[in-house]
Amino acid sequence: MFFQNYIAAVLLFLIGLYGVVRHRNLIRILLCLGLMESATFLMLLSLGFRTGGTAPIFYEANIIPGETVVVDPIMQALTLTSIVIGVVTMAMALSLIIHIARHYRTLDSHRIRDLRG
Amino acid sequence: MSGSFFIVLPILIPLVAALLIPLIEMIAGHRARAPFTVLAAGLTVYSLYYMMPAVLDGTPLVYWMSSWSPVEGQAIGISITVDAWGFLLASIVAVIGFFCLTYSISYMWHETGRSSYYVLFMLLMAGLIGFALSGDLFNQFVWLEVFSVAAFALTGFHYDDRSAVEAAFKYLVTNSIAALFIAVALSLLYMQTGALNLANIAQEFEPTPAGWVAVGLLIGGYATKAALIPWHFWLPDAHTVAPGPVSAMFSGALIKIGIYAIARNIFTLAPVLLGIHLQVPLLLIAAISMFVGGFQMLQQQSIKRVLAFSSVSQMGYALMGLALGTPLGLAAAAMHLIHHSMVKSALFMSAGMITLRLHIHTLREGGGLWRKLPITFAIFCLGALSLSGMPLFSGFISKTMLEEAAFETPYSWIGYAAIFASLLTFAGMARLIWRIFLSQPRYAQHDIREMPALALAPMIVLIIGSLLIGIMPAFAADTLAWPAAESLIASDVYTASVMNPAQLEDLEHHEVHRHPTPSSFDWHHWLPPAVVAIGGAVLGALTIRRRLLAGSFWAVPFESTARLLRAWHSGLINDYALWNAFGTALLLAFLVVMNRWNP
Repeated sequence: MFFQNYIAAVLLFLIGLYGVVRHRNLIRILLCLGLMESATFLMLLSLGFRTGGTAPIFYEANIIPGETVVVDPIMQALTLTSIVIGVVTMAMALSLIIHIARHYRTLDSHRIRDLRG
Repeated sequence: MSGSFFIVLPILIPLVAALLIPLIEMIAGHRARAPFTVLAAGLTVYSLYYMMPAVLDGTPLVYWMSSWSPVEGQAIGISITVDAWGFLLASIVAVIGFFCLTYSISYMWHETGRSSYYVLFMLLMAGLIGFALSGDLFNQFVWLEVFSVAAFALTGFHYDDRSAVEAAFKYLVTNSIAALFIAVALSLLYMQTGALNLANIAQEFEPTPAGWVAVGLLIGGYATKAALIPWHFWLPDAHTVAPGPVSAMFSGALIKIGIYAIARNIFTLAPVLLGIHLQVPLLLIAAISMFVGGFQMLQQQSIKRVLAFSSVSQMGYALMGLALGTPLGLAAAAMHLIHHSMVKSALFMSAGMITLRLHIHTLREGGGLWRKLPITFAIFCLGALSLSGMPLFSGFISKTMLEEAAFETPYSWIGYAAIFASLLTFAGMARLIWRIFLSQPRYAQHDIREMPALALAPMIVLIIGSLLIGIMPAFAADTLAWPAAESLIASDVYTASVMNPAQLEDLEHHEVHRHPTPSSFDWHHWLPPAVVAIGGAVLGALTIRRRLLAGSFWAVPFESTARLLRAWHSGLINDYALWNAFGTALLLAFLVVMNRWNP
């Protein structure tokens, strides 16, 4: 358990959110979304961490019951799944950005607002 | 039946069908795709119907994937847990999906090239049903992403249309932020309880600040899916540009899943939360959603956008039922979900046909269509009556139940709010029907014929279903709505049947007093609809003829509210992201502060 990891995760999340709200370029918005995602990964991994822990790989001579500390594998599984999900969303968003650029000839969010009111 | 593999079938059938579609296209040609998906959706409905008696029996069905059942009170495996509430939502998704796919046959008739539409639609269905039946929070999160990605792609399906890609991008950004909130909430819950299974968390949950923050983040995240205000900005955009069957599916099934998840998290995950400090903010959100959605209906120019804002308003009603927290309120919310999914998807289907075949997108382009489209006109009129809660329709039953539920709690103001918000719905629908079907056409219209029978059939069936529920409400209320409400109230039964089925015997039996279902022919309940009809007609006339209002005392507040709301929906993705975060932050702040000060 690292206290500073949580601080870093919260800060990263907020910086990402600030970026999503402030940046006008769609690709930058997307990068900041990626930053927020990384913050959640950091949070998940820090939750699973145990001081002095080793990789949760179980085979005969590897683990001494009652002595060896292993990190929590569930959090690592969740992080991997989240990364895959993030990649899918990112690919989707980039392909949409290509189409937006084709139609609007700009990536400025202030000029991409046909739908409003 | 409990523990049987059969309960995974409703998820598996659409998922496998999605993979088989390209193969079917190769073997039997592109015309075979649509009937195949209809068949798959029908099978999904049948598989749900098959397990209906066992689910409605009262104890949830549990299936542990790969038989990883809990050991020593710790659930590591993934459970599929089907209780009446999840079953209700899965059935709504499957039935609406079936009708939307039937409708797609004629809507997508000229789309011969891309089979991706059907693949994505089946993935959307699989994701939604998986979400409703899953009993594991992280598994729910994965299903959430499955149906979200399918929904982003379906929104931007007509990518040659510039507003379609714009709406899809806005949808993606707002909903990704919501998904991140949910991910953070998951990790907080895991930190506190060391579990990811819903029932396991429910056993260990303690109302500490971290727990409050987690629940607040979950509600904020799922409120984006449910399109409650101020998380709703993606909805009008996405519904407007998506293909007809997709907007019908979004309004009929996708936003209901948000309401499902909110209820699941409040009642099953953390039953200790049923205190007053959650009720007030949720009721406020519900009231604001009803009024802002209703008011926005009065000033929209696009046909589908009017209907989309009506969905925002109707989700407010469903949240109101949940937030009241009484068995009657929950049953009313369940009833409202059934009612709204039928009526709104029928309306979106007919709106989709009008835009596709007649190229009429806005109210301005319409006018005088009732002679040429009598059946569509009838569907719109009946749908509007049902939506605004007129007797003989399902809307009357659910709204009367909601009002009764509000008046038996201390929060009777929300009951009055619900009645006056219906007035806006009535006025908005009256304006829509007047402009499209009744008023003088402003532009020349050529070659207008009634819709094909295959497109009309699902709409007619859905509207007749709404009428049947209105005339004979006991069937839907007693077989679906009340069991769903009871399964939410009896959270200990849910927890026990997942974690330790042997314990079920010892649980005391929950005696939920089922209120008699209101009848359409009971004159005592006719006062609210009468107020709504008269007031709504006056308001509708005023919005159609703006100059009647000009110069009067009401003109200034009306026009300035209208301008303010239009400016609020700025179309700027940064603003939408900010409101998304701001709404969640406000909810979190309220929860933490209130519960710190009044524990």
